[in-house]
Amino acid sequence: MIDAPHDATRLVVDARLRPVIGSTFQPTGFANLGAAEFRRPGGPPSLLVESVQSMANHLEAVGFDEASRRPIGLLERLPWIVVTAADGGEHLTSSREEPHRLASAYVRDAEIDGKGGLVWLVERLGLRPRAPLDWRTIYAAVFQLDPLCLLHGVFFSAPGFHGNPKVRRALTAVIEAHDVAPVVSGGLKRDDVQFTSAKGQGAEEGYGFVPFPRTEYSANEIVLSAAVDLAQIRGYGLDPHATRMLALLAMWELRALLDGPLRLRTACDLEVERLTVRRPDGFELPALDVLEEAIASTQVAFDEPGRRAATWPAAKVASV
Amino acid sequence: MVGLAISFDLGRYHATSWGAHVNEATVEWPPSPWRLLRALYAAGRANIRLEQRWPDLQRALVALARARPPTFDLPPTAAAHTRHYMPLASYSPTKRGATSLVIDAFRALDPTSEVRAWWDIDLDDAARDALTAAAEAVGYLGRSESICTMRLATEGPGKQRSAVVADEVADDPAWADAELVDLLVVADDVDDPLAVIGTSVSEMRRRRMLVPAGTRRLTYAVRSERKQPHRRESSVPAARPTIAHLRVVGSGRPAITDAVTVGHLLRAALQRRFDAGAIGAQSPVLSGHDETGPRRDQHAHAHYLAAPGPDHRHIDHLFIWAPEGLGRREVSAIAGLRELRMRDAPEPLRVALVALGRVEDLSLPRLAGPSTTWSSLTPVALTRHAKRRGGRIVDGAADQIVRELALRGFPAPDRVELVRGSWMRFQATRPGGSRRRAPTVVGARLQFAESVSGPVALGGLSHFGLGIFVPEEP
Repeated sequence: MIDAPHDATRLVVDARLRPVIGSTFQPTGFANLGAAEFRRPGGPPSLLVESVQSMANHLEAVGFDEASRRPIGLLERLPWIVVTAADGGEHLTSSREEPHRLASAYVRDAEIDGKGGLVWLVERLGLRPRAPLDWRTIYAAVFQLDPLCLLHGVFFSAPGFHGNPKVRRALTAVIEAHDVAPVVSGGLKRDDVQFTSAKGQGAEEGYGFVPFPRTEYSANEIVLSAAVDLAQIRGYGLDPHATRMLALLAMWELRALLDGPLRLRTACDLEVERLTVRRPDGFELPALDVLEEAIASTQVAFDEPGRRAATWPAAKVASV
Repeated sequence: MVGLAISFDLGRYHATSWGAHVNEATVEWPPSPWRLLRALYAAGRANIRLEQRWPDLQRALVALARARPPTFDLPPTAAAHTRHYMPLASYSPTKRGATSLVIDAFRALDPTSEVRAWWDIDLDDAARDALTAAAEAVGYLGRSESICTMRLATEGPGKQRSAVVADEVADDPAWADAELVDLLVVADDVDDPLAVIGTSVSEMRRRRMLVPAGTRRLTYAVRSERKQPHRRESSVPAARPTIAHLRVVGSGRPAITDAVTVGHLLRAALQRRFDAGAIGAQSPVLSGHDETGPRRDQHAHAHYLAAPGPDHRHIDHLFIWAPEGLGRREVSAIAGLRELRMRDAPEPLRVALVALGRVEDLSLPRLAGPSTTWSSLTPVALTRHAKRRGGRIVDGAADQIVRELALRGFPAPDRVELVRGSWMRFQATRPGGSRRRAPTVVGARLQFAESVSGPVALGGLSHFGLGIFVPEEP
């Protein structure tokens, strides 16, 4: 069975993970904030290994080839917006690369089909001042411009987008560890060429001995939990093929992430030990090849499949 | 009776209290009646499949808004938070610095547990069906990380409620210990409750309103959560580390004669890191203070010791040595320390943890021996005055050193030899203290019959780097 039951409102999966080597891992955090520890009621210490926002980035990344800056072959025909420089045509960014996706400032301030991006988007989304949001038109427009925004969310928050419509993410995941303990170690970056520092040749310049601390964690349990909001996807009011495609894409991203390397950072390389579908009862997450075949064969017609060009004004291109 | 049951699929509930900034890290608990109705309203408006049910859903929402505010059954939760740098609207691959620090406060709870809210009204079948469909369409409650599953509860409420309107139980002794929480509800006298529930947040911001028009705060009495038995992490307490070794690098390393200043700086820096995110939290291990004041339990808390490098002059090593052991938060504070700022120094000192463990497990021969002969690295600050009793001098320097050794569990030395040296050059008062009040300082060599293991730190300010003895190399 590849499709979730028609009355299932959520697909919720839990994947028990383990470090690929050793038993420690490096969680998310910043040098000045430390790791994100917390506790459940009456429980042992827990730890955020990867946040919801970072997991969204990982899920989006499975469908995008960073090297060529294009969607992978399976997703080629899905519409997306590429922003190029007016001067030279250099690929600047795209709705798949931008944190704010279709609502990115680079799309909003670009020229699309001879119009300013903001005006063009407002027309496509059917936004009108002092009028209720026409959600059916909004969802249909977003689906035709970049359907993955209906999975990962998009918020047209800038002034000018009347009503500031917000489509929240339909695919959410997080990785947490439970019953954790810190593993503290350290080391010394050596300089065997010269033992004392000189002016202009200190640690900041890359010379000299530099001690460094390291705090990783061990855990009794590392779990990736993910939820696909099937009720929300059905609630977009798209035709059945489009609705099915979105549900399949959500499952595909999840499966591709779990089947692939889960190397979240240098010392956080995880693999799946066991996958459980919490809801709906009796449903199994289909295999990757099954999902890919189903996606490839969905009968969805896009007005403009694939890449749509937007040109960012030459005067605003910053040198990198 | 109309009941809503909400479970949080990822085990977290994130919702900023109305009128509070997200970085105040408050969580609205229980979810306010206004928030519940608004979530249903939003689902009804944004979910195309509910278009046909909208008129019936409107009637249901108006009925709930006008009814007496609900009571709640609440599952156990734990307050928690994480911190993140979030991209601003101006963030881009060419402007990666455009981020903002956000404190993400949430209530952690069992994903299978449910929050239940009960309104004492009845709805006709059409309104109830519309409400059921809307509840199933609600994907989150609070912030979008609060993934939830909502349903119309078909079972009746339990016998004991967790949260009720405070006025209703003002004279009930069973609620005497309840916490009072203000929650947002639709005001009683509004003409159009739907307009209140569906208020535009953009409009609110434009009009600089902290709470939506047409709402009021209603005080609820919330029972304290049942104390869950704290699961022991292990049947045998894990041995805590007792010493942390930090390396100090940089061209402006202070002299060993300034060990006391550096010790105080280190203690203050660790206390700040320990307290990060809390308010007024103090580590009894790091501070040496408990709720009654300075601890008197025989030097079990942290000593901040310094040692020079090969030049024997400048501080290359710092040690935080706590015989009672360093807890998880103390270790976290130490591990994250990157620099120490000394007054008048052009650059901060860079420090980094390079070893952590129990003294007996680490190899620290130049600090911990073992050895039969120990010599002063920093002088011993005498805390008593020598005096004449019965024709002889008591409480002299050697007497005080022997006494200090005994207090710290060392055997009596065979010999204590006072050693001449430039001990007066060492800072012997706390930073800012008057040199005129500095105690007498002496250096010494200790000879034991058997090898003893250190660290050995004796006398006044021994927790800040004075009175350190090191094994004498054979």
